[in-house]
Amino acid sequence: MTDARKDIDQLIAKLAEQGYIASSAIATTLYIAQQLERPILIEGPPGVGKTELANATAAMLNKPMFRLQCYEGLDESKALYDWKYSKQLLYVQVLKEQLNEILDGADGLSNAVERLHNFDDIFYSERFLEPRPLLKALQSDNGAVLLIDEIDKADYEFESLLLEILADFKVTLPEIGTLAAVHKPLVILTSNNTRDLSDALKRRCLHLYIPFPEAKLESRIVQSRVPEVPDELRRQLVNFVHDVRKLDLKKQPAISETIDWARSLLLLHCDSLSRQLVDDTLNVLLKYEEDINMVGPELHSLIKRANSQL
Amino acid sequence: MDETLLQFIRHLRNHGLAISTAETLDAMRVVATLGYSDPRLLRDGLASCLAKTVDDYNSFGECFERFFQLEAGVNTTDPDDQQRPENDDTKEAQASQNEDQTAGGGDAGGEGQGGDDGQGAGDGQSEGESKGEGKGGSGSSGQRDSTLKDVIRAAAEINLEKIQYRTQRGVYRRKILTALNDEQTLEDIKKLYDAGDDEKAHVLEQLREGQIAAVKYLIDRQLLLNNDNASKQLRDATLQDTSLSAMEHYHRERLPPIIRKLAKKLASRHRQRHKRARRGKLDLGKTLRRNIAYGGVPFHRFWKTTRKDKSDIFVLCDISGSVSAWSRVLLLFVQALSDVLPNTRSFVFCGQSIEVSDLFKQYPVDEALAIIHQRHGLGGSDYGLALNSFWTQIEDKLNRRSCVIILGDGRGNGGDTGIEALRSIYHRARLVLWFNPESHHSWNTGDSEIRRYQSASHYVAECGSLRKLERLLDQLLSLLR
Repeated sequence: MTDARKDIDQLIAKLAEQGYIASSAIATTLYIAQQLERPILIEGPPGVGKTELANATAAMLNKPMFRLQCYEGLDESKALYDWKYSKQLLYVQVLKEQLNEILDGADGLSNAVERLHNFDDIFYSERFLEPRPLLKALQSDNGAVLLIDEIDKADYEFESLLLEILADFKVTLPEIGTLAAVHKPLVILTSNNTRDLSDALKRRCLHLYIPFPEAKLESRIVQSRVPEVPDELRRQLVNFVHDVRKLDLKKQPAISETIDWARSLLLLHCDSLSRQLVDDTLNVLLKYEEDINMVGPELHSLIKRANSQL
Repeated sequence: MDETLLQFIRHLRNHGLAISTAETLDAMRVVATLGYSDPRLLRDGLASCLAKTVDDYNSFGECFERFFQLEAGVNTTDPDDQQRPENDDTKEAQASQNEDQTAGGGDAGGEGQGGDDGQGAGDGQSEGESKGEGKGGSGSSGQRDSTLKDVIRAAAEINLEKIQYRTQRGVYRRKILTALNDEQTLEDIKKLYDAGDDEKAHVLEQLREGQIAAVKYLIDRQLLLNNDNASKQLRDATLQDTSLSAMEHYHRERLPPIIRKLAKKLASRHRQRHKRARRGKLDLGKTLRRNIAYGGVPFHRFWKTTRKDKSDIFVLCDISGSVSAWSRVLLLFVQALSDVLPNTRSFVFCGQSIEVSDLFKQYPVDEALAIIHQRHGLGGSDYGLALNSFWTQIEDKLNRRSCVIILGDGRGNGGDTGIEALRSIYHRARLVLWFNPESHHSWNTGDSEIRRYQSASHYVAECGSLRKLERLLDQLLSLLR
């Protein structure tokens, strides 16, 4: 077994300790991201564990996590930095009071201006800087995990803003200059693929696609998250969800919904799937009325198959 | 320089993956980190830095499998690893996790594991050569590795990737063998036989045979890849210029990926900015109002902006027999452009105009098109009914921001033309475009009413090929920006 293989297996085990069951591809990408100090762009349908991977990684590395939720109109003052305006205002007022002292003995306007020019101006300095998640992650003393969630919801302009950070872990503030990361953070971007991201952004990241998992893997995930679920019920509900995903639904049930459903079934103290039970709890799994209506007529055969599959 | 990796990247580029120099450097670091010994690991690692979209993943998987088949045939690898890589990562993961938990599973390339003649995974050619090597038990995996690397290096030296025709095989074989100093090897074998050292001579002979087999396989595979790629590129280029009406059904099925590619290019060129700052013009009122909290000191500065209104697009497509293929292409295009044409409503007609926008929201594009064709397609066009019902449906939605695109040949089988309805649309909308797939030489022949429709449209354009349609949409997007 190669060293890399051992390290990756170790990574899988450590993530499992945090309750995240990672596939080999996920662990390999994470391992490479750490080795190459590259951001990871994770794509995949909603609810497959993209954001959760960032949480689990931060917990595993025992590092703080800074999360930036993207939305249309997000700009640098919310994502990168802003100024502490009230402090700056106080500074201006203090400066006014100190003006006589500063200009003491200055003859004429040009002299006064010269005196002001030599005065140490800290109005735009790091002292008055209000760091937002991106800058906080760069300035973190012991490294951090930076999660940029749903980057596809942000505007193209915001993508451009990220390029410098993703490439060099530096950021240029016009008033101050370039600030480099103290410790390069592990950056994870997630996208639900609602629009194409720019090639420039993709070039700077490692790419990971997380699809819906295989039944075996999903069963292990449910076992890890809801260990109290009996084995037989777990097998049945995972088989049922997998069959439901084959139907033409508006929204496929995600892993998070499988887990919620498992918890609901546990609350109802049942140990196997029955028609009545599924009927009553289907709204936990499916989020659209049309989907529930579509699955309704198929319930009998779906439950029968789920109970018989080994 | 890792010649194997560079060759692999060239193959990926040949298959449409856009791989930059920076990504190549990343891939080199990945290989340096992971090594070549565990194919599954290598595949996952390289995929993360070379395949940047879901489509890329699929191409990458196929290319990886095909390219590293040679090594699979020549190297000592775990036969399990030769299985076709699944595109589903979790399948892989599950398999690998299960295997890795079993002793020795998943780790390939163990030294001294014997001749490994069970290389059934490769194809016939590689099998032959692996048997040739394996059974002798003489070539250790390390030696086979170096043989393969030598051959790949020599192939790169003489630019094997430029091979195009089967008739060139002999020439390239000779070139590679010359680069491998084959004549010297032959001489050494002869000398060893002459000196009575039959054992050494036999080993050297076997090595040479392995080398020749590897050369043959490499040339055949390169030829296959190049032809595959060359013909694909040629076909794609030809399809863009070919009239759709003259296109076979088989080729029409290949249009969607080309359309998506063209649409992506158009979309990146025409990103709409809905708020445009008029740089340098301070919005004094807003700046003062927003800075009252700071004693009137303008910490926040606000610039005057102009808001660009989004255009509403209405697309009406004739899906009667004569032009249904074109309507399919236009609808595909419009859906692929949804990024830059957000407010688009699609209608189709043979007789009555029917809105199909919701179908595109509910189903994937290809599926939606199949449903539209099945439900509303086939039959002759009734332009009178179509345009009148279209006007009725969009009358209260039309304004100076609206752009109407109609695709049809204007052949209403001599029935009502619906020209009055079109004129009403023309007066109210910002732009009425009529795309006619027929060559303009055919306009006004037979039952074509296209000249009349010209009087109630801002522009009637011939869109006989994909490339022409792309140009038209490009111009349209420029207008709408």
